[in-house]
Amino acid sequence: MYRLTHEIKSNLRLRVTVWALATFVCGMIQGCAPENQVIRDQLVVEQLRLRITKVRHAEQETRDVIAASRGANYLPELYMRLAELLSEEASFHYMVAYEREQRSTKSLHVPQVRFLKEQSINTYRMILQRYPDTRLADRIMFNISHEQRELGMFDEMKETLEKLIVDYPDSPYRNEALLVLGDFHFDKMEFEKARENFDKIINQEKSLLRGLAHYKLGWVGVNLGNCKMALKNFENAIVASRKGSPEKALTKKVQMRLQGDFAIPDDDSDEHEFAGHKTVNVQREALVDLTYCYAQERKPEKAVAYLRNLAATREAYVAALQKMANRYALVEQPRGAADVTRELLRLAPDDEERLDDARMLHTAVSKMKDYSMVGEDVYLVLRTMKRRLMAPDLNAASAKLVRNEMELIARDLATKSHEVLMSKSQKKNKWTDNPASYEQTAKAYRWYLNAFPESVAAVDVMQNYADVLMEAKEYLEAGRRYRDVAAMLQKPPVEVPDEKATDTKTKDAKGKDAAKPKPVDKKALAQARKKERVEALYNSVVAYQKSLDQITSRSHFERAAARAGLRAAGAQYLMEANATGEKDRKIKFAIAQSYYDEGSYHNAIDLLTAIAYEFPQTPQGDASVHMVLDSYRTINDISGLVNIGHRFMAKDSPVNAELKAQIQPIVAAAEQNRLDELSLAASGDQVGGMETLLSFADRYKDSDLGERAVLSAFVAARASGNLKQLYSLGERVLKQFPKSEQAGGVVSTMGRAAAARFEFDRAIKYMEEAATIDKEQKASLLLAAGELREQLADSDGALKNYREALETVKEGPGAVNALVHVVDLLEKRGSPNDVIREVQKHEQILDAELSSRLGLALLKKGENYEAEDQLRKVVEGAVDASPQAQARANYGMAEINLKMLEDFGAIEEIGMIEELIGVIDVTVQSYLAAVRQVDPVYSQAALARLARATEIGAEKLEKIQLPADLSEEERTMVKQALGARAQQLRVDSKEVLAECAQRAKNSFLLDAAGQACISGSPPRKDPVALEPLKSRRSKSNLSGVDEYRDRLSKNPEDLEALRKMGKAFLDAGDAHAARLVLARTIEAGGDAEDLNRLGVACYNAGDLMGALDAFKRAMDAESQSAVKNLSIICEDMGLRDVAKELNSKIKGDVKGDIIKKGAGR
Amino acid sequence: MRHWNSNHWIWLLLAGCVLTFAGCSKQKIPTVEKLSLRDPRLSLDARRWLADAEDEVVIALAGLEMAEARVNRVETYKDMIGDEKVFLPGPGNKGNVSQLEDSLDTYVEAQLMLEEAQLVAAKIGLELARARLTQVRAETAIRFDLAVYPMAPIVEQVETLKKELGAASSGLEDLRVKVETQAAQLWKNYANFVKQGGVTRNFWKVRSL
Repeated sequence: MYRLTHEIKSNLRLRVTVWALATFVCGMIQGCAPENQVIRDQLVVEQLRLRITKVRHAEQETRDVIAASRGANYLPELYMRLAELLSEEASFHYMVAYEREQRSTKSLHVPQVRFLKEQSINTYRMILQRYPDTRLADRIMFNISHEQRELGMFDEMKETLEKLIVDYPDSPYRNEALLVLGDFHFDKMEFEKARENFDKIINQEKSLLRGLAHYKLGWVGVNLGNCKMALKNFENAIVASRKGSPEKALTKKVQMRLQGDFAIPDDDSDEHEFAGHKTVNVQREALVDLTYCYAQERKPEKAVAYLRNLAATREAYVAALQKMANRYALVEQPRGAADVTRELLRLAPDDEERLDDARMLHTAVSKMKDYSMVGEDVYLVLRTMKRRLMAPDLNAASAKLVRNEMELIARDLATKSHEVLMSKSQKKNKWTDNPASYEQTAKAYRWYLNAFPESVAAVDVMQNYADVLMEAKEYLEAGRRYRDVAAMLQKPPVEVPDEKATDTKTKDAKGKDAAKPKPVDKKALAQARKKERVEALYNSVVAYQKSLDQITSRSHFERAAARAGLRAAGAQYLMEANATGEKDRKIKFAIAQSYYDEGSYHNAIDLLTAIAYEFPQTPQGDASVHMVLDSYRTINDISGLVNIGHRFMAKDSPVNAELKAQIQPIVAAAEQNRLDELSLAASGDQVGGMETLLSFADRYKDSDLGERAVLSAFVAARASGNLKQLYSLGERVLKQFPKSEQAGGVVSTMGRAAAARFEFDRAIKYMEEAATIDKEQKASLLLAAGELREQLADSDGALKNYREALETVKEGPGAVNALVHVVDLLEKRGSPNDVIREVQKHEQILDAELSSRLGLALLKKGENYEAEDQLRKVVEGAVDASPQAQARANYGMAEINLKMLEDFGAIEEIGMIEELIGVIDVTVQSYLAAVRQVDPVYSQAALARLARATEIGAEKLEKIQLPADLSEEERTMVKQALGARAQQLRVDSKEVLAECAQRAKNSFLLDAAGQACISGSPPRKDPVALEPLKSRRSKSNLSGVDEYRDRLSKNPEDLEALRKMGKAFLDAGDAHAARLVLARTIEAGGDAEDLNRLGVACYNAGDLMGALDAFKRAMDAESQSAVKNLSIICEDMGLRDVAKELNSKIKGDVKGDIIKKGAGR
Repeated sequence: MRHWNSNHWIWLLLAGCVLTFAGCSKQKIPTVEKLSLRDPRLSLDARRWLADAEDEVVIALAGLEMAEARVNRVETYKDMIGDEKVFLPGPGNKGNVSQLEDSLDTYVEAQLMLEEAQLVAAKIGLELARARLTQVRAETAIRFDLAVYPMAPIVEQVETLKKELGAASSGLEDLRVKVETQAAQLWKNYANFVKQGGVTRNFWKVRSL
């Protein structure tokens, strides 16, 4: 069992092994053997047979149904279906035969087809016979005609279709029938008949076949040689096709049946979409087909636009263009060919035909010599080339050929265009008025260079490109391109492959006398290239410069690029050209100017200066001089401008006399400008400004500018309050520029500045010195100096100053003012004779001021009548009299009246009593008028003297000796009256005295009049006496006060500094100076203690009235020390009650300055 | 190549001293709070005063930047001419090259010294403007009872910097004169060099780069 099993197993294994090996070998053989070719026809035939089988089944089924449907109303449909199935089967048989014949011919003899088709026709006819009213009749007839046509029974077909047309005018098959009939006649070249049929379709407005009918008619037109008709119909075909279905608009494709490809249409279909039929795009076909006639009938320059307008799709447009291009080429119409091929190169697919188009374009353009679009043409040609070169099927050799050919075409186009531009005689030709343009030519060169940067001709083309750009005024780009040319020429020349060399060798081998190639002279070539390179660099500079000269608005970037390019090219040119003369000069100037234009003025200054020195007295050299000056002015380097200006104006400068004359005022203005600038800096808060200004002054020390600089520094020092520098600079002006017009002003300024610093002695010195220099200000300066001297108790010095001032002016208000100063001083010195003498010496300038003073002086001398004359002038007539003059005059008049009262003699008759009373009244009234004046001194004196006058009046009345001729009764009455009057006067006197005393106490105007009033006895003589100041003890040159003086120089209102200064003077015993400082302190807002200190200073200086006034004001401001000081003075004056009253007001310890009793005397 | 001479060291030393001093003196300066220009507690005048002081700082900063740019420009130029022969003798070895080269070097050196001195002054100017701003802020705060600061060190710092600036500025005019003198010499030599047939194209190349 086991053996058997084993044998079986072994046998099986062997069989399996053998089978596997056989399978493997077969597989290998099969795999290695060549593949059997798949016969496509077999598959199609099989499919067709399968269909035939299916159709036969359907026929059988239909027949079965027909048999089962006898009498049914749908029987015609069943028969019709059977006929159609038979026709379909016939078609399949035909197709099988067609495939079997390898599709070699469509004319086949297939009996089975004929049999089936005849069966089909018979079936159709049977339906029409049995069911003449069937609604399928038109369709059946159309199908019969179709079968008849298939069977070549054209006459029968025609008859059937005509009958269909006649019998069924509304049938949808009518137009189809007309179309078939039209085609039938067209094929038979019966064009008129064909036209009639197509026209019938067109005349039906709603026919969907109108477009197709027009198309057919178009072809009729072509065949009739009527291109107008053909064009019109083709156009209509396109338009009608677009309108075929408004819903689908242009996208709709009208379906049509072509001859020989008929199928049974769906009778319900509005669009006649016959399934399985080959379709034609009428719009496309019409567009393509119309090109033939268009080329004959219409203008070629409008062809592209025409086709583009009509084309529904790009594909149709390109197809039409292709046909049009061929047509134009055939009829040798270069304009149309050029336009059409351009459009083709733009839009058509990248296939080999494009190269032909490129060639055609080249030929057409060259023939026309119209290079107006050469830029685009070259672009299109080269784009075509590039795309073609990318084709995978193109080998290297072909690629090289294409490349070479297109390079030639592109170069030819560009250079020919350039030639036309250069040739003046070829500006116009029959094809165009503008055969070429610089812009287009430049574009052509650009595209060429982009495509062939390494071309042998690249240098020449680049050169041409740059030239064209120059002509096109594209200077910036031209400059760049010239530099490119220079760069290309720097490289070793491209080796030209000598294609003839091989031929030459061959010829040599054959022993013919072929000329030997000329050996290249490398040195000469290198020199020529260098020359070209230098030329290119020069052209580049020129181009860049022209670019910068263009007024047209360039962007900042372009301007910057042009300048940078110019400099680079210029520098290269200078390095390589060894240029001399004009070119060298122009290049260098262009480089320098580029810096100037871009605002790099520091660089521009250096380079333009170099040009001025290197090329003197040339246009560039002269322009450089101006540009250098302008550069300095622009960067506001005035110092630099002045320096360079002087350098240009120097003897050894390269600048000629005329130019020097031009720049001289510029430099002068700059110098003044520089001075102004430095002065401004020095006078402001700018640190170091003064030092710079003084350095400037030193530099110009021997010139007017130096003088102006020192004066400016002086002004700056004054403004900044630096008085030490002010004095130093003032002295410098006097020493260095003694004849300066400003010398007087400088010294007087120093004097005023010193006065402001309370350097009184220095101030007086400077003012007197200034007076000797400045004649115009002499009087005022002397008066100012005199006033200072007077305040400092230098009465003689002051008088001298005043008199000198008076001698200087002599007349006018200035003279009056000076004389008033003189008279006032004399008055204070208590010398009326001197006053009278001084005034009378200047009688011609006498005015109210002087008259009031002269009157009082005369009065003091007892010359009452003369005094009255002067005083009356003031009281009665002088409208311009000052309040002080009025006060003096009224007081003087009252004194004259009082004198008259005092001198009134004994009463000799009763009438004299009335006269006496009148004198008393006049005296009283005149004092009252004087009391009402604003001057407190004369007012108070008048009040005191009024008390005295009333007292005298009372005495006079009481002592009257009545005349003896009066009766006793009369005597009694008169005495009583006089007594009453006298009594009244005494009462008045006491009241006036009390009022006077009260006023003196209140105001602390404790002069002689005030003291008399307070003491209760009216003054018996004129109490007004202006007391002079005490002699001054110290001088004003204090030490340790410079800080305060400096502060006051900067700020005259510096209260603290004023206080310190005042105290310092007071402490140093210079009460006169302290008095002036402290008075200023009060003006600057000093407080009670400042007033008290002022009082102390006044007291110590001998100005008692000033002291009392200051103490009084200080007391009002609640200064305890002022109260104390007032009490001391009152005590000293003997006014104990007043002093006691004041002492009672003192509370606690008194702090502050206290006078020393008697120190003021 | 930069060539240092004793003048450079003096300027650097001066700048170092100024900065060191400013650094030391800053220790004494109190910290002054910034005041807003829109602070409603301040009067219009006070705000203007503050704004002016702030403007001063901005102006000083701009001045410093400009001074730095000028120094850089001259340094660059100096480096450029330092690396190569700027002038070449003409055919037949004409033109005194060394004299012209020397005068160009001296001229550029003088320019550099002036610009560096101006840079030092600009730096001190900036310090001063900042110190002034501090002073104005402190004074304003005190005046409007916003804060209390010891003014003495602040004022002292301002005064010190003013003196420093005065010292730094005092030499500028002299340096300008020096530059001018060197410039005059340079262009005189340049004119002579050209007359003698010297070649300037390298100079132009250097200046065109």
